[in-house]
Amino acid sequence: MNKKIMIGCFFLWMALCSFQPLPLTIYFKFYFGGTILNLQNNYTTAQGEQITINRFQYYISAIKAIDEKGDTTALSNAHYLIDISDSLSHTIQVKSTQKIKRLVFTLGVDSLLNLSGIQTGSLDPTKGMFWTWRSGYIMAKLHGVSLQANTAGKRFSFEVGGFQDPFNAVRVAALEIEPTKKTIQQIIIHTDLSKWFDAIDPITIAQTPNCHQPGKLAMQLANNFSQSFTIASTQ
Amino acid sequence: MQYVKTIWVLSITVLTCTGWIALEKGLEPPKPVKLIVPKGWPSPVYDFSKNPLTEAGIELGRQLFYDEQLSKDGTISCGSCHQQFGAFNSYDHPLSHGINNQLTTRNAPGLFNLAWQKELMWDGAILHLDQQPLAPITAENEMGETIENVLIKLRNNPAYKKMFKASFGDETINTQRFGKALSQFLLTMISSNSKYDKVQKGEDRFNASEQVGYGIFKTKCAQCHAEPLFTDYTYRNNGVELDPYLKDLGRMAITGNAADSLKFKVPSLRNVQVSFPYAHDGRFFSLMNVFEHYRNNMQPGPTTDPLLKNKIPLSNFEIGQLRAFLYTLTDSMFLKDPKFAAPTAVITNIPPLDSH
Ligand code: HEC
Ligand code: HEC
Repeated sequence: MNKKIMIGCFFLWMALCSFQPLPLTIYFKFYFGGTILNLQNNYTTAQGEQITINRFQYYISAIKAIDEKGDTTALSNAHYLIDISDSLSHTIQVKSTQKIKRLVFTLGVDSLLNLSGIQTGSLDPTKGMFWTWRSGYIMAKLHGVSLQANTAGKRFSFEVGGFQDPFNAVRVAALEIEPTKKTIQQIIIHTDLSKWFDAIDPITIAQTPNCHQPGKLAMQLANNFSQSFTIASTQ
Repeated sequence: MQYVKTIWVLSITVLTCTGWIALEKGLEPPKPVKLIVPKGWPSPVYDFSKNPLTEAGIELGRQLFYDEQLSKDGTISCGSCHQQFGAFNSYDHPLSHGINNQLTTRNAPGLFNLAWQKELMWDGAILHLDQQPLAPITAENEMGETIENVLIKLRNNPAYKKMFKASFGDETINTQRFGKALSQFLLTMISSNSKYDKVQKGEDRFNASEQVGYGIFKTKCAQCHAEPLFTDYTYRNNGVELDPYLKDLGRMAITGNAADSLKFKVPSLRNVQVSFPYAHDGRFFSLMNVFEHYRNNMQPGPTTDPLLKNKIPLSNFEIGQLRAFLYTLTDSMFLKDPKFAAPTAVITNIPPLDSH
């Protein structure tokens, strides 16, 4: 009798140990306007400028879910560096939860982490997303070439950062989700890079080919960038 | 039968535990070092709980500080621009030399009492001491290197692997540990043994000129160069004119606010006797230049500090007394302390550490 209880307990314990709720997988896909983005291709911005993109990286953090009652659940406290050239970074796994009505995430790096020493992992300065001449992360980076850029090599380079008022470039994206009965396990998010140039503030490369410090331009680019995200499907 | 099983389980557990303990034993924990806050000073602003000082960590920091591998062509170390006999400024250089005969755009300030300094650089661009080394390493006109490359060079060096292990518990060499180790060394560079300090402690006395000079200092200078650190770490415009070549607007470059134009961090006046040339671009070659600036040459502009709207009246006599007082801020022990000098053994010659 005793033995049976012990064995029973053992299996129960094993089961508890192996039980983990299924994660929520978020996929990022990249578009320019209506078409899938290809790093070799030419695109035309809303201002009629011709561009090719060769680098696109950004941080997302503080991923949360808000349910129908308005309650918030933190899905992840990590910082993810999404890099268009690194397909592994396009998929992230976070905790899942029921009845998600809105998915909310921060575009950028928590302000405290900008000024408390050197971080590791995705926030390691060797990732090239930390300004070395002044404290602070580059929250999002878009590099490319444009016929309209009056610069060496026709390059344009947008590095959006700044975490202190009045030039805090951290933004929050909040995406509505169709309510479903079952727990969502997969979300596909489309990131439309054409938004960088016109979502809120029109940007022309001819006028501002470079952004390398916190300030008004970085704030405008951050506003535009924050409008790039839409939910394409959930499962 | 059941007992046999229990004995098996027990003995396996015990064996794994002892094995684990034996593994751990090979590594002595690094010896902690306590930072002594000089009497009457405020508490440091650096958060030591995230980077506790240890003997091994400080020594590693010193090796890194004097290692020329940190630059692209292996010619420049931190110590090339920050020289001990000039209180770790670039001695007698208005601007410092980086790789390929390039000059910096600012004067290298002395380095001491950094544990009390919340923001670094003349304009406060850097907000944490650990992040500071990344700036000169990656600046094209300073060390011209990438962080990644520096880490690769260190990882390829067995002596460094051992030192990182001794300091942080394993051989991992990453940006964070690199910054922490350099900070450990920099944080120990405390200058608090000048004649002024001895007088404050009642161990010495000012002579007549020094005493008069101290009085003048307290009425005319201490509002900004506040005791005991001889700076209040604020950003102010002390009437410097814009240099037409450097076009350095100081704090405004960081805040983007026109009201901060030409404001620079108030520098400490400790060791000022040896830290010439002075000001953010080394424009003053001597203390006499500085005194002339304050009493005659300065150009009060819209952002000039209100305390200086009428310049600072100073007679020749007062200048003599002030100078005598400022010389009491020289900490000759600090300037010669072998703890801060280049390590006698270059890293590659270091005998392997005894790890039993
Ligand atoms: C090429 C010369 C040069 C080299 C090499 C150099 N520095 Fe500096 N350092 C400077 C200059 C110039 C400044 C002031 C820059 C400014 O304010 O913009 C400075 C500022 C600093 C400060 C801030 C001091 C203060 O009071 O705000 C620290 C700390 C420092 N350096 C540490 C280091 C360390 C550590 C290294 C090695 C990794 C190093 N420096 C390498 C020239 C140099
Ligand atoms: C309103 C604030 C203020 C007052 C008052 C003031 N200073 Fe300064 N002092 C500064 C600032 C700011 C700088 C840095 C200027 C720069 O880098 O361009 C400075 C720089 C200096 C320097 C250069 C130090 C170095 O290492 O580069 C000396 C020396 C100095 N002051 C001495 C004095 C003396 C002596 C007095 C009193 C007669 C005095 N100051 C009064 C704000 C002040």
